[in-house]
Parts: sequence; C-alpha cells; structure tokens
Amino acid sequence: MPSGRAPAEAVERYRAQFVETVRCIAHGSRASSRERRYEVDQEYTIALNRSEPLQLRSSPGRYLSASQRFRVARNEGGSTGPFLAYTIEYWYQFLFDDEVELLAYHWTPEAFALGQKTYPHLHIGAAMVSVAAPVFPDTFHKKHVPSGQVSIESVVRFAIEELGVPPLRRDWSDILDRGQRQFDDDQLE
Amino acid sequence: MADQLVAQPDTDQRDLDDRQGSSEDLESGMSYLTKEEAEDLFDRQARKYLGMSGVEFRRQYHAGAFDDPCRSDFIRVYFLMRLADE
Repeated sequence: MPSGRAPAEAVERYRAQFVETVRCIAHGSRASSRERRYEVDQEYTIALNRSEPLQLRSSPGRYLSASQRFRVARNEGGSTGPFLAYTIEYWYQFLFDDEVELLAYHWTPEAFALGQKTYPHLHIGAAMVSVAAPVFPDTFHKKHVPSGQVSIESVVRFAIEELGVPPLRRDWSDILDRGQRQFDDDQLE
Repeated sequence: MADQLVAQPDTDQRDLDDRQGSSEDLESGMSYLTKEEAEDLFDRQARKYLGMSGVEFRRQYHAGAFDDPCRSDFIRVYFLMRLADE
C-alpha cells in the first residue's frame, strides 16, 4: 500500500502510483488533485485529465476516464511507514470516439445520496450489446454486473492485454504488478 | 527515458490548456487545484456533461433527485463535486 513517514508522503505515493500506472498506456497523462493539508482519516480525490476522457493516441479512437478517492490512515507497524493511503471509491470508463461508452467500472459506497448501487460493479456499454441479444437488448447497459474491487492497475492491464492498447514502457508489467500488490494488501484490511 | 517505447505526447490537451492558476508539476503529472479552481472545474463539467450548474448538481445530489444516477456522466461529476468539497 502507498505508505509513508507522514500523511503527506502516503498521499504523494498514492498519487504517483496512479499517474505512473496510467502512463503505461497514455504518455504524459496528468491528474488533478487538491492542494491542502494532509491528515489522517481525511479523504482525497484524484481525477485523470480533469475528468475529461483521455485519448489513448497509440490506439486511435480509444479513450479512458478515471477518478479515485482515497483515505489516509495510520499503519502502525508498517514496514515502510506509519501512514498509508487506500482506495475508497473509483470510477473507470473506456470509450470509443470520446462519447461511446464501452465499459465502466463503478464503486461509490460513499455516494449515499446519489442513489447509485454502492457495491462494486461493471456496466457494459450499450454499444457493446447486440440489438439481437435474446434478453435486455435495450436495457442491459443499465444492469449492474457485480465485480470485486478493481484497481486502476488491472484496468490498464486489461487495456494492454485484452483491448490491444500498446504499452508505452517496457517495464509496464512490473509497474502494474507492484501497484496491484499494494492495492490487494490495502483493500483486504 | 530509456524505458519508453514510444515518445509521442499522448495527453488530450483540450481542457489542460486553461489551467491558469493551478500548480502544475509536469514530472509528477500532478496538477494541484485551489478550492476555487476545483469548484470551477466541477461547475464546468456539470454544465458540459449534465447541462446543469455545479450548484444545481450539489442540490439535486443531496436531495436524492437524480433519475438515472448510474449514468457515467453523473459519476464523473460526482467525483469532481467531492474534489471541490475537500
């Protein structure tokens, strides 16, 4: 898990891992966050590309949107520091041509007033469902397909390994493995 | 960098070019927004994707008034509201 000797260090490590992960498929990508005091039990948001779909120019027509919220906690006895940052909500979306949703991963358990399903789930884009589908051809994109908690690392790996998005770094798999281990350690607590 | 396979810029610049005032760290890839900048971003994206102001989104959110909250554009704006509210 992204951890550090101070809350600020844990936050910076979390953000750095997020950006480094996305840069495996989107060179030069940037993320926005607030500049504020970093404290235990506080939540922070990170939004890729100011929450605009980010074009994956190595794969024409493909775009990625991603935001996460994370919280800082004490990590007593942690080997890399007494503070950690862990994911509490996320949203990832693959699009075609900037507006046609292919897939979207939602996990917003703290969006109490949104009326959204709070468990982690997946939406299959309407464009991916055949009009000849035997059931729900017009409404399947609204169904909440249950999923486990999904890391940004596994989304980027999916893009590379399954969607054919070329990796931009030779060490992309190592970067994603490292981040995934951190995510798994964190989310199991 | 030695480990780069492709060296062409890959960032969508459409909304990155109007980031005046924000603190930008190009190497880390982070753009640090003030509260006012975060509120402005939230308002702009709410208008663009949902056709309502940030104020109206916040009001409807707290009233539980959205008909189709699972639309990704609601989720997109929700995260920006959280960013602005920090």
